[in-house]
Amino acid sequence: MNKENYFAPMLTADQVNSRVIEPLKKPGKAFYFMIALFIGFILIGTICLGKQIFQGLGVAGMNNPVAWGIYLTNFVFWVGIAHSGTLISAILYLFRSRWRTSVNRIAEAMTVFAVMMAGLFPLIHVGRIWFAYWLFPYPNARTLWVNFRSPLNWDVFAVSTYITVSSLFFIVGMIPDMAVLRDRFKGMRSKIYGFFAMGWRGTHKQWHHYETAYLLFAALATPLVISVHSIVSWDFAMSILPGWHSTIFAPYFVSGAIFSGCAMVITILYPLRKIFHLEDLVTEKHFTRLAQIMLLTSLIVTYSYLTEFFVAWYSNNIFEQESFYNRAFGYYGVYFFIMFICNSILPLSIFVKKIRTNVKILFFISIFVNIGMWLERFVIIITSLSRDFDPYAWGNYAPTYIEWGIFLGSIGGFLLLFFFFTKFAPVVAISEVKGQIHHDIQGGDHA
Amino acid sequence: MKVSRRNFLKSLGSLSLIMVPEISRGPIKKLFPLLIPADEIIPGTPYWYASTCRECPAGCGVMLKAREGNVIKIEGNPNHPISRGGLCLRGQAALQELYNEDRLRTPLCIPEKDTRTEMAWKTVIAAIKTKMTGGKTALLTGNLTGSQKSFVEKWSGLLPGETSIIVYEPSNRLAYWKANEIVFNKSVPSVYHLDRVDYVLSFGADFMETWQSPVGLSQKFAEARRFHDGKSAKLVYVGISDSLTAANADEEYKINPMSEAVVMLALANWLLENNNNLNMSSVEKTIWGRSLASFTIEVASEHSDLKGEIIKQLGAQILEHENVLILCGDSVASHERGTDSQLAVNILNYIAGNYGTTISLGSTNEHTLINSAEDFNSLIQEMEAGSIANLIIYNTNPLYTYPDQERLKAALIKVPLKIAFVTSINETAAAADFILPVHHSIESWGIEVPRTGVYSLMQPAMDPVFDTKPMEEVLLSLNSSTLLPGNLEQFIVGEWNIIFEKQAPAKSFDVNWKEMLLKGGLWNENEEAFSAPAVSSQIHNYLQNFKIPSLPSGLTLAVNYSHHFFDGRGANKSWLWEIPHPIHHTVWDTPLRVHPELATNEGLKEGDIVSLSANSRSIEAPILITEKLHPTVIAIEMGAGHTEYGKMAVKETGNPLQLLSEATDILSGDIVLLAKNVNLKKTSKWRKFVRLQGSYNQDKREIIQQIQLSEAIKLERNGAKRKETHYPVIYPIHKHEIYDWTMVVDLSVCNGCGACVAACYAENNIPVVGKQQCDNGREMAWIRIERFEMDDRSRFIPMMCQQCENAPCETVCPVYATVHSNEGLNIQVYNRCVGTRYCSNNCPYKVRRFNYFQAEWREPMARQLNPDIYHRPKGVMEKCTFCVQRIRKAKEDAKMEARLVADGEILPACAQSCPTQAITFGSINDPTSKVSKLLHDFRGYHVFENLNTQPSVIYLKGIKHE
Repeated sequence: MNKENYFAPMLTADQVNSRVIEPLKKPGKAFYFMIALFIGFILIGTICLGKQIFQGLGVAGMNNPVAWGIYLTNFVFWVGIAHSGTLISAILYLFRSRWRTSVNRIAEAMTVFAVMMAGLFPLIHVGRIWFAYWLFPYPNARTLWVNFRSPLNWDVFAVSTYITVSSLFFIVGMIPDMAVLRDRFKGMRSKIYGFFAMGWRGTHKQWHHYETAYLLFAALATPLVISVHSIVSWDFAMSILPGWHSTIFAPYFVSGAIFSGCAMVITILYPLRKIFHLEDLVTEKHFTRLAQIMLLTSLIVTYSYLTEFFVAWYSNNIFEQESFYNRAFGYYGVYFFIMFICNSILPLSIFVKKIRTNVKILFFISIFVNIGMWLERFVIIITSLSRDFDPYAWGNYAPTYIEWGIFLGSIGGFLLLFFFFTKFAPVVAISEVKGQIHHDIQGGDHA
Repeated sequence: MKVSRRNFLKSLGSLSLIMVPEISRGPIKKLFPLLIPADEIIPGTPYWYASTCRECPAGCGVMLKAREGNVIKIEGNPNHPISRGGLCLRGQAALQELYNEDRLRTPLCIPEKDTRTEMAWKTVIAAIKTKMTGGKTALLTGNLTGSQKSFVEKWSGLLPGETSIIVYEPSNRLAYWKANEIVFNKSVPSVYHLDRVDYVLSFGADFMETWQSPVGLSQKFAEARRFHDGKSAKLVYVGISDSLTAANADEEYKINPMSEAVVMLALANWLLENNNNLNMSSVEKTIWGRSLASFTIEVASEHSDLKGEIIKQLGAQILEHENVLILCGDSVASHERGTDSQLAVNILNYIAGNYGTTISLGSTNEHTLINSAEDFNSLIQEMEAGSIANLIIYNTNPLYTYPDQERLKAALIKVPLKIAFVTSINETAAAADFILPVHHSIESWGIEVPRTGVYSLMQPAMDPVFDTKPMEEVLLSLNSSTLLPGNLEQFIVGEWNIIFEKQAPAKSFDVNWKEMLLKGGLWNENEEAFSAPAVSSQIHNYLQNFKIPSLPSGLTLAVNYSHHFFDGRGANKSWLWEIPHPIHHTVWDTPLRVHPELATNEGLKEGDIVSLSANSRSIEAPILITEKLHPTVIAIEMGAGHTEYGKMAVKETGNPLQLLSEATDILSGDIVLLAKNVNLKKTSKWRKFVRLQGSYNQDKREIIQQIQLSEAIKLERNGAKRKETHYPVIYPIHKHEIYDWTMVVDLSVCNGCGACVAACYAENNIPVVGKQQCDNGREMAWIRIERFEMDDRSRFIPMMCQQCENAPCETVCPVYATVHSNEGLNIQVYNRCVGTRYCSNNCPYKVRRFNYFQAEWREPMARQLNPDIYHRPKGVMEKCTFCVQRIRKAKEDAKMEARLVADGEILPACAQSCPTQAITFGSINDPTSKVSKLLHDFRGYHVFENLNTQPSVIYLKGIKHE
């Protein structure tokens, strides 16, 4: 077993408590300013959405043939981001990766908030949002049912399952920490923490049950990491559209999701570490590990890009060929190349150890990966639609301010939730870190 | 006091009655504007009125469909000898004039410039009466035939002063008469039997869009062109600019402007020498040889820019084919020597032996009044001289169509009293003193006589939309006389009586009249008998003195009649702007077409706005680059540049008619549509063209498929059948027990005219979205004409929902909003649609249309809406339904009679309107149906067959002529 120490040397359990709990105290002016800013974003998004609902989807840029625009891009983007949380907390837990303890809480929070944002976009995107509940199979007097052949319906189940499981996982994972907070605070706050602590006393029996439950959740959540994004990818792969209709989509999308998720964790972790002075708990080594996952998934994604082009060429099918020629050299070609640089070229630098261990550079790379992965979804959705079978119907699409406004609103919503999270819950899993420190100092190995 | 429950309720009831506010009686509005008495009308049942289209001088028969008192659709009258059931998009869009928002609603008086006073009919009549003086009265009208001609002549004859009637439209007909007079000594129109041809050589005759009687000629030509029994007529086009007919041709050549007469005479000369089976005496041949001696292939080739071999090749083609027809039309021959071109085509047809087989001479139509542009010029001179006291303008708009508008405006000012009868205000009406709103032809009585022997009725199909009157009745109130009956209907019945007596049928008048109202008029079912006419002797004299027309120097501007707006009169109709033009394919604009050579020389790119000047006037227009012009020619359609024609008219592009000269055809006095020595200057402005088609290159997609004629003949002889491909599917196969609706589209006759698109707009309440939304890709048309360039030829294919058996849209809809019916239809359930638009993404044909906005239907245009069709709200998907409402109607009718729907009983709107009858519809479960017979035709194919969508639309491959 790897005996590498992931934390600052000489870190004590008490220090962990204070490091993590410090940020929960009364926030400063900057915090309020940011909150106001994010609420502003949300307001902009809401106004745009309101306009869209009242006037019709025409205020957005979608058209015939590009009937799906950046709403669906955003949906896949947010779902993708939501993947790192479960990956880090569940899969790495099962693999006994010790480094996950410092970052799993942030990743889980990110998952829950991102999937909340993702869940909004299919609703925003439909023509009659007021009837969106028809996508759920519920008993009704009109004996109407949903079409289980439609991948969109699979999506409804995939995303709702994912939001349920990841929220539960997040809440369950916080129980011991909530107990710590319950004891640290007084009054109303203590009562709220007490509610989420669910009567946690830290007895041996409770720990035993807790660990079992956590393991089970991890085991349950692990297949979801694969299935949810596979189903999201089938929204596209199950259609007959050249550029979408491909069997590579599920692994391609899943690795893409983990790729973008890890990038987003780095993007968020870096400033958070600075602001909350968590350098002792979240060290370069954590970043390096995340970067390594990014590198691996980046290579898979690059392989998928190239395979798609190869298959299009090899198929000798005019529709496929035109679709991929258009993807690289058509109207949206520039976005394809930006995407390729961000997702395939830049991450290669992670091979270099100096870069891998430099948090600042990793932060910058992660931002480019975020942009690249957003563009990847844009490129897949929009360029494939813009030129498909019938040349009569070819046409281009450009998002309008309404769509950008709603995207901004979703970013605002995500960050607002995250900021509240940093003020109301420990950003690092106290109990797990303490366990890990104990484990490292003792040098024992319970497993 | 003790109140019982009963009493309490009683007093409560009476109290609340008192509290109810007084019910006020609002103005009485008619729910249904009824012509038929209310007790005879059945709500929900359409009433059909036979009438005549007045959108161009062709005079096609139409059926007006009225529902609850509103005319909601115009269809071709299948019995009518002119059009035989089809109707072009201009004719169908007449509804948009009837219900135009900009229609004049009350009489207007213009006491001085820029002031318009509304007046009541009584006051305005009184005012006009006091102003009318005894001086010379001129009636300036558009195409004047039948009852209107007769009325106007009778009425003006009763005026105390001198009168004159001048018909002015920018259409050329006199040159044809004049040429026949010179060649055959008969001043009559020619009759073209395009249904009998194997080969048509068209010199600028755009008979598929505007020339003469486009619907009728398209229908006839389709009969010859539709592949059957190893035959399909070939079309060769020689012209100076592009057109729909040119695009449809199998070969297309460009010549110098004004050179067509020489080419035709040279061809005649060549035929004379090379035709061994010439049907003429050797003496005659020698005489012709002498007359045509100077028109050699070399001279023609040098003059026309057309290679000598090509001229010989054309000659050889004429010899090769049995039934040949050579046409010469306005798009090349509208110049000072236009009659000479018509004369040349007559000679060519004569020498090719076509008279008596494919062409004949008609007879003078005494019911139609035609004047030349020269006559109008003299009217202007009279106005300038101040000798016209009263001018009555009806159904014509010279301030748009006359070249020198400044001169005409100045002349009009000298006329003391000008009265304009219009439906919507136009430029000319705006310059009048009184503007009187008259009935639209749909609201009015009339008899049209489009050609000798065809008496086509017009009858009011609804109560007038606004407070309008028929033109005739207004004239009567200005100068009533006991010699004329008091109202129009009486007059029409009287006129009909005269016709009736002449035709002397055995039936009583009443029976005949009622029958005629149902049928649409009176005509000889058979075309007039024809034979080869004798040539006049003067022709040889004429030919020997014939001077070859000198070629125009510099750039020549060809002003074409518009396929959509005709002479500009359609410019206030939104359908016509939104349906893509088949050739330049832009919407909401009329581009100036420019040859690439010229564009490179001038440094122009598409959309650059240029300033054109000729005859000391200039306009601005955006350019579109196309190779299908002669390099010295630039071309633009009429239609844009209206200054007073309502909200829909496009004003950004100038009115090209202004660039023409007032000079006329020397022999016939017809209008000239070529402007010579045009100066083209680039401006700094640019405008984006909005096109609905993404690319004109189908590459190897095989959307439009063609088959070589020889190959088709071979396959037909071998009894070949359509190859059907079926791949395995995972879902159960649909069963269609009673009906299985199928559509067959014959691409050998579809000419891309777009009539089906207009029909679909009218039938299915399809909203017009405007230029901006078209640019955004939100047009709503359910059927579209796709155009692809194949081996340098344009070919067309109508694309609508293919009603696939394995529909890709059906499996992806999460809520079952699109499902398969047991009759093979792919049904869109608007109420269930949530608007995920996945169906549209997954549709390889991209025929689904999403309601990005709530469609807006403003009054009175909303009265055109078809009550059988659901108004789709914003946020739902829609698409072609195969006119499911018509299928329903037919099924209900059949059910009442306890039978199955008969073949041909259901005609979707597109199939009904198609002038060439390219679309066949029916159930393939009925083995005797027309579609069943075509189902296995060897020319049949599905678009994107490899996708295994199994569409219910089968296309028959077009024929590629060698």
